[in-house]
Amino acid sequence: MTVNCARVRSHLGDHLEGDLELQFRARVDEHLGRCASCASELSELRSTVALLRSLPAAQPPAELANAVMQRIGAGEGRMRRSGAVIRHLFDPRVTAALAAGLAGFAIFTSVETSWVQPPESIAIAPNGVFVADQNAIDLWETSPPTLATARSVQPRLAAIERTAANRFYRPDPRSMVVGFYGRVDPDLQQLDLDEQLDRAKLDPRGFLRQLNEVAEFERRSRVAPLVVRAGRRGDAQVVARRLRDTSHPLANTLAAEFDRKQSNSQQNPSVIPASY
Amino acid sequence: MTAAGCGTIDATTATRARILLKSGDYLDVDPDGDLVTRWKAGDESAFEHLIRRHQGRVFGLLLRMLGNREDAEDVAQETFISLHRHGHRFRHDARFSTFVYRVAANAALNRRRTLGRKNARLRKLQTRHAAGDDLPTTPRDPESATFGTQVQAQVQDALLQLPSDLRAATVLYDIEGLSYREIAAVLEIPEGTVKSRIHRARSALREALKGLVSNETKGE
Repeated sequence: MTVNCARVRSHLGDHLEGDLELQFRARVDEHLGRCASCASELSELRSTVALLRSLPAAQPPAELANAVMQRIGAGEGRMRRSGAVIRHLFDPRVTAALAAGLAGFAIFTSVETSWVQPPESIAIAPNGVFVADQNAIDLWETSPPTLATARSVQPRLAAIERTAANRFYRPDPRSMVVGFYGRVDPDLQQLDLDEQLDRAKLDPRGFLRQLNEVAEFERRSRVAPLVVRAGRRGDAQVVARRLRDTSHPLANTLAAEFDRKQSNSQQNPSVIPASY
Repeated sequence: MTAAGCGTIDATTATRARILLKSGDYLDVDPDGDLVTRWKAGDESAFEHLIRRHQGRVFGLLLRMLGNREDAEDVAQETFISLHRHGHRFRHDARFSTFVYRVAANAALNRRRTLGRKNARLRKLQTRHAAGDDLPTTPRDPESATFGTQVQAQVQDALLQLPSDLRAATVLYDIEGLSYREIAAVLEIPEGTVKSRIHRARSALREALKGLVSNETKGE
């Protein structure tokens, strides 16, 4: 029994690797002996693999290990605890990224986003910043952002109102400013700022207006904020507990404020406590 | 005690362990096990030793995935920082080297997405520039300073044109020399999917390098 070209071609990779069962290999070889086209494809495939394998071994930079150990010595390699939520609150890079993100909010409010995004979008996802628990952060940072990952992570995120940007001035009474967690990629931050500037060239007045809005918001809030939708009781409890777990001096104040907002949400619509 | 003087398994043993694994004799010893244990116990010099042991492979993977040394070095640093940060998640149910490759591959895939958007922006700017808009644009040529010969540059360029999932599989197999089983563990996909991606990657590369491989074939 002979084999046809399509079947032979689908097994050329296995043929190259010597993975074909002997009897089948003999039939493939027999076909290759009389089919110049398939034989040529095998030959080209072999050359392709040879070219790939001829790429020179890459020599890592001599200072790579030292550079990493220096950064670890400076505290970069520490495991992040939920305290990072608070620490990042005052990180100027986060503030800058958020500013870029906010400008993006105003521009892209009609853009639908899903959670199936690369991890960097955690920082400036169009539907907002959010609090994620440590497991979610771990999972997101060490696993590919596949649909399965996103589905697994999503339930553990205290999601923000999708139209958060519009609510900064007309706040949802169930929301409050809590903090900000974001993994800030300097390249990404630069990229998004660049993109904003590209847009600014097309609509300078609109962009200026957005920048003014961002500046006004930052002036009023004094910190890079996070609006957490506290409509779901479970999320609110998680956020409050994690706030209390942190050692930041503001943690207890924030957690107490969070609880107060929970119990009096309908009576007290102010969103940004004056104390911070 | 220094990291080098602790009687840990050396590179030769590590290689031998991998060959055994490929032949089907599963060797239930992680060559990095001792160092990982010491590092988890607080010995930072053990982590440095782990970096030095894996940096060649990590950098090689990243260079082929990203196409230039600057990005590869950045992402290599991020990979090891991330490993240090998330080492507590390593449960010894796979080899540490698999974990290292996994973190590096994910970092590369994520960086490529960012670069993809950046390149899209550059293309947009170039289009505007061509249309008379006087915007500055300086698209970089990642291969120009990195790869010595024209052929190697062409091969690297063809690699960069592949979809990233296909590129990761073929780089790990054809350049890094991992087995199908190891790649399946690194990329967290079935072995059948690994084989299929490698097959598709090679077919696409054969098309992209048609001129080169045809010449080579004629010269045989």
